Amino acid sequence: VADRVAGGAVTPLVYLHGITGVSDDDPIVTALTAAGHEVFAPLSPGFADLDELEDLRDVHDLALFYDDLLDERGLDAVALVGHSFGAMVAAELAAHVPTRVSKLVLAAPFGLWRDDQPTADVFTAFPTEIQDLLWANPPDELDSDPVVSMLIAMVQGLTTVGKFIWPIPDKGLERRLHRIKADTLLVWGTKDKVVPASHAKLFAAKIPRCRVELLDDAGHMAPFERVDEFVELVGGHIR
Amino acid sequence: MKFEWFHLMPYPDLPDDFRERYRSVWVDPPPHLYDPVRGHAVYHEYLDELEHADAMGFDGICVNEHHQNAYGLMPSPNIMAATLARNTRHSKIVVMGNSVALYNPPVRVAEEFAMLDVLSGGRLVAGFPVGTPMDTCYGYGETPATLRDKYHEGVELILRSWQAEEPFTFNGKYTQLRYVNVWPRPIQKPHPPVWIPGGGSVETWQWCIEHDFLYAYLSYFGYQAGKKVMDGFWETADSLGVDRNPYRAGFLQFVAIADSDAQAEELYGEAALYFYNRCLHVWRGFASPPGYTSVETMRRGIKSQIASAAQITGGSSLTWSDIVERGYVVAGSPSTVVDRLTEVVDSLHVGHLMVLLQFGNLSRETTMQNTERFATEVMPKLRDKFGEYEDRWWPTESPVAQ
Repeated sequence: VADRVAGGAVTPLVYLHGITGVSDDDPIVTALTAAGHEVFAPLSPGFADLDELEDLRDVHDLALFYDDLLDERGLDAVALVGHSFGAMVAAELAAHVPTRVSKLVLAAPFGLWRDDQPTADVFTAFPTEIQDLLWANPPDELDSDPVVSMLIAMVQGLTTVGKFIWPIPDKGLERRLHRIKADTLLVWGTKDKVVPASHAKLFAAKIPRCRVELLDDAGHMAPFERVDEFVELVGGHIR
Repeated sequence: MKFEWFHLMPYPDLPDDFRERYRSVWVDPPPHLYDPVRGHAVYHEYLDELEHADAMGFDGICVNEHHQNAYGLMPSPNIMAATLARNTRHSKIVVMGNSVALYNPPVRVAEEFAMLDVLSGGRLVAGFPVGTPMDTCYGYGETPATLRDKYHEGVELILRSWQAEEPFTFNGKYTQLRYVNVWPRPIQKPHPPVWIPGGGSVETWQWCIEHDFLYAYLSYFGYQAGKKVMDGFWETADSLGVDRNPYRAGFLQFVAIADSDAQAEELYGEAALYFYNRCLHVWRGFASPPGYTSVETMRRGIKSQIASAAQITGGSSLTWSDIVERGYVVAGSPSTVVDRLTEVVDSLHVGHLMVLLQFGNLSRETTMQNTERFATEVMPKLRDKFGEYEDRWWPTESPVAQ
């Protein structure tokens, strides 16, 4: 698992990335760091090397993998921020090991299912239509032709995500959300075409101490579409 | 040479504007397009055609498994194989095959194949496909990342269950069974021949050769497109130090026989266009779920994969001359067909030629004629090819009097 640790030592937080992964110049990590946070942003197992998934068969294995990882780091009770797939994993960790997480921020988490509020099938949208699905307003540079290495990076990421949420992202999280002890902030783009913003209510109904912030005119990539607001919300919540 | 008569069992009444109105023939074609009363007639026509192939002396008759697919109406090929086992005597029954990872537990496949082997008097060829993404990941909800691993474990369990002399315990990653004990037992010992229909991946070629399974390349795009794949297979055979026995391999080819090359278009043109333009209208979103194809395979061939997916979903419609010139369908007079099939089996070096003599909405009458002409005017000309090789991938003489 690749590590990305950056920044000073104000309020340490752990950031679990979404389906697009996390890069060295990740805008969220960069902005959180600039805001004075010490950020630990591990790359999910599988995203760089699918063999890392060999012993991680389900969401339970994955939650305990992160529990072990934070143990190794000596991070006992952390502020945990997750986006998309990473937010689902963050919720699973907070539900599996409630004392591990002191504050929790979930941006557009996968993890629940309602027939009348379905999450999008991101897998059938790969590779041609996925950008339109992810963003309320896709950035211009994504219009360029995808190159092989980027496709492989994405296919590895989506293979990993698929391993844990195929064929629909309901693996029992709803039965575990009540175990979360941390103060929780849910952040959602009102125009999320992947996980409908209406899921905020579903999460909020099950997580004991929880509030919701909606970001207007933002999609599933809301933290990236509204970096400053997102970082401010995170800072305010984990203070 | 051996010749196997292959049926896909397509639904023949997809509307003319299917391609324009609906996004996919597979996974989510609208249920209302299927008329079960028409389906009744179609099943019986198709079974008649397979039985006719037996009567005409084909070595094998083939059925296969697809799910939620308007051009492949056999979610359970074993049901068709069972009726064929009763009504045929000569042809081997090639079930091509059961997608192992979709059966829970996979001993279901071992049981049903054993039933078919016993019922048919030892005429079963056991095919184990991984299954397409449309069948497995979308139709049956299998996780792409673990599909192949689960498939390999299932095949191992099935082969062991056929050969074990005592009940055993199987503690797998995907299947746990305290008592594995398959009844009935297959007639063929140690087990029916195993055929693996696969795409063009080095991993599959190696696996087939190491386990002495037959490798079959079931392409709808003919021998010109299949050449690269079969070359890869034989190079892998060389590198693993096994002989180039052509009976290690099978290849699927569409064939259309007429009095003349010109008459072929008249007889088969519409049905071929029905198949290539309607039946292969698969939404590209279903073609490549992340994790279905290994990263190594993608790295080697990602462009051609995307290209072939685009080809299937197609921008423009194909014409008859596209289809014939590209070798998708070998069509024409018997002498043209003999010449081209000679080129097919020589260039691909395959001892098992699986032929699709019914395709698309080809009528029963034309299908029967195509079958008869193939058996009487083409098969004898190619029959003696590869006579110097032993076919170890074929049912042995049955202890049951047929």
